[in-house]
Amino acid sequence: MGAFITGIGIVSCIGNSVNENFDNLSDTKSGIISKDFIGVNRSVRVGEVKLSNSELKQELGISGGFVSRTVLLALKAAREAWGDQSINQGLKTGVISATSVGGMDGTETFYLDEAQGKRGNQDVFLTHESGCSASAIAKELGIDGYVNTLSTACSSGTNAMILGERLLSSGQLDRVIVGGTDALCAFTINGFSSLMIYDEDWCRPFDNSRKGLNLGEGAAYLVLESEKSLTKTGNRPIAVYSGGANASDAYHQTASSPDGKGATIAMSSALEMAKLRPEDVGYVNAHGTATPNNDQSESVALINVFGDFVPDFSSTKAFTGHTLAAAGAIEAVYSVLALNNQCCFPNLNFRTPIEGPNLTPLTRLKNKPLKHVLSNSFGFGGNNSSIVISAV
Amino acid sequence: MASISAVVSISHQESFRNSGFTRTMKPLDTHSELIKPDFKDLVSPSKLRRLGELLRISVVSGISTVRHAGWEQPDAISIGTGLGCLADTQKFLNGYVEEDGSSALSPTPFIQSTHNTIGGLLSLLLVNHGYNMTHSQNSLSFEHALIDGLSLVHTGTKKVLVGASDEAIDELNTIGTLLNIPTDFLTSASSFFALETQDKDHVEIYACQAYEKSEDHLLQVGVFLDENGLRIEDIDLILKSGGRPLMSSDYNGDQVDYLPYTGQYFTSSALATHFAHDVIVNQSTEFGGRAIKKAPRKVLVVNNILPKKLGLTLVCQNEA
Repeated sequence: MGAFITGIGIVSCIGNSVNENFDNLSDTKSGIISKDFIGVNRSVRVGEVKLSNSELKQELGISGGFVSRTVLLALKAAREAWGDQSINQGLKTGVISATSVGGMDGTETFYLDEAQGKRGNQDVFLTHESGCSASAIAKELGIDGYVNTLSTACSSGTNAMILGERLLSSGQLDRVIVGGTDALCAFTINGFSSLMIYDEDWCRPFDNSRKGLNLGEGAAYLVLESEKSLTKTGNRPIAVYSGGANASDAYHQTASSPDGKGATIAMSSALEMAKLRPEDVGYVNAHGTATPNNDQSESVALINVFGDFVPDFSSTKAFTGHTLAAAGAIEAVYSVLALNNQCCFPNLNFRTPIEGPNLTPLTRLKNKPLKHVLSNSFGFGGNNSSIVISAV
Repeated sequence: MASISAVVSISHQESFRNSGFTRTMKPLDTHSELIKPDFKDLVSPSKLRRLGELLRISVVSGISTVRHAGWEQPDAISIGTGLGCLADTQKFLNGYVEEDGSSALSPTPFIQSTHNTIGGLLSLLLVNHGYNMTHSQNSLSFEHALIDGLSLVHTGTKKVLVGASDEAIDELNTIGTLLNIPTDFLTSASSFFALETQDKDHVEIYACQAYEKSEDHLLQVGVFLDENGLRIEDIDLILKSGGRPLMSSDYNGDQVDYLPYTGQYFTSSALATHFAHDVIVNQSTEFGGRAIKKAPRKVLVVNNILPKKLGLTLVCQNEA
């Protein structure tokens, strides 16, 4: 059980690289802004990556036809994670990506254009389906075997890590690039608005006054290697994936159970897989979407697992917005950064603990010795995942 | 390697709990329709009321598979879907496009547009707290769900429910025409398999692989069989996607194009895998109304509905 993390890459509204993300997390600078969005009938607070599609294409050296923003963000983050690794070393290398809406950013543009009497660009449909990002990464890196995409809503990115590790442990792969990507689109902004869980104000994870999420966009990828792979690549691990688990809440199609059952099973099983006790965890990067339901349920689950000794915890969603399928991968990268810099990141916009569980997240950057970080991601359909990332 | 203790499909064929259906099934024609069983025998109508058609056929075939396998619960669920619940996706999209970003949209089609709604609903209806995964890699989505399922069985998970579902909507015809892609017989269907550790009484999934980019399918088939200690002569029947022969004329077994029987959808190889199970279990010497040379014990499903992408699924009579 376990896998070595040898590369990380990220693009989010708080930075176009790992270093930029770390600087903004340390300086407590959120990337969420208020802006007008085509297909949405009002200004909304969103975490938008500060690069246009044409800037991304230029940077990636892509010319020609339409490429969805979801794919562009994926390629940018995957390239940083992969670094200067090469493919021809007799290693079975795979790709596992994750996305919730795939190329919906392009597809909805087609329909919005047509509704206004303009002729839509039909090429958008070529990058609609979920697998396009994984295929684009595979093509760029020269990987032609196992290339897969998971789509389990907001837990997808974490699930890519869980599946990746299993395929390494079972010997099916030696090395795998895992992660997730999602671009902002009216589809998801309108979707969460229709569920009445889109906060018109700044999202406030774990605060008693929280009303909902702010969406964000981005992508993050991590390179996982087996011990065999390390001997061939000579790569130096920067962190270790020590365990993870996925469990179903089986309570409601979108809401989490009040007793946090699925989340509790996911966290407990992840610790069991990692052969750790709850007290070994130094920091929890919570899912913390700032919806009334998630943060209540997650708080109860944290108490179920950790009792009176809930470790330092925070949600970084008030920095990045909720990046859906990318969230688990983005927060896995933040967990690696926490371990490498021996610090825990703050939870912005918090004032008052939630009545009942009464938990207080970290509100300032905290430097401390850190060995194991637990990262949570919970999605629609009661899809709950937790992973443990440890120092080398 | 895993035994198939039950398999159920809802498709344009008589594939719902009807062993031996492959013997006389006919290629689809313009009059073919989705053949739906009586849902209320399996799931209470109140639970299906607000669900779109793909969700209905998926949860019914999934739950039916669990019951047919005699399971209390699966330990894990792994689903493949190429495009997810398209009708709901389109409904929600049209809502804000036509209403110019209306704030009064119903959340139901948004909730159901999520790719993992099928797996999520199954966990809800079964009250199942196990591993629940959804794979969505275009034409290889079923193979990836199956590879995950086989890996789970291999690493000690006892009962794994593997399924695949995709939906045809009219819009796909329009898009196909725009992009100049053939859109004959676009169909909706759902297939589910109950996988368990090897059991001598059952037909088994011997191996499955998905290749993102295959330049030479015949060569890849050879490598795949070799990895599993087999040669092409060992394969009695090849079910392949498309009319072009895969093997040269000196191949002794039969090779049949499954697409005329499944119709076109991203996870059609799941129904072809059900076909493979059906011919082996029944030791048929007839497939789709035509004779095959011998009652097959080993069937290879070759999915290359997208030109460079290759899925290989080997279904075998247990020889142990």
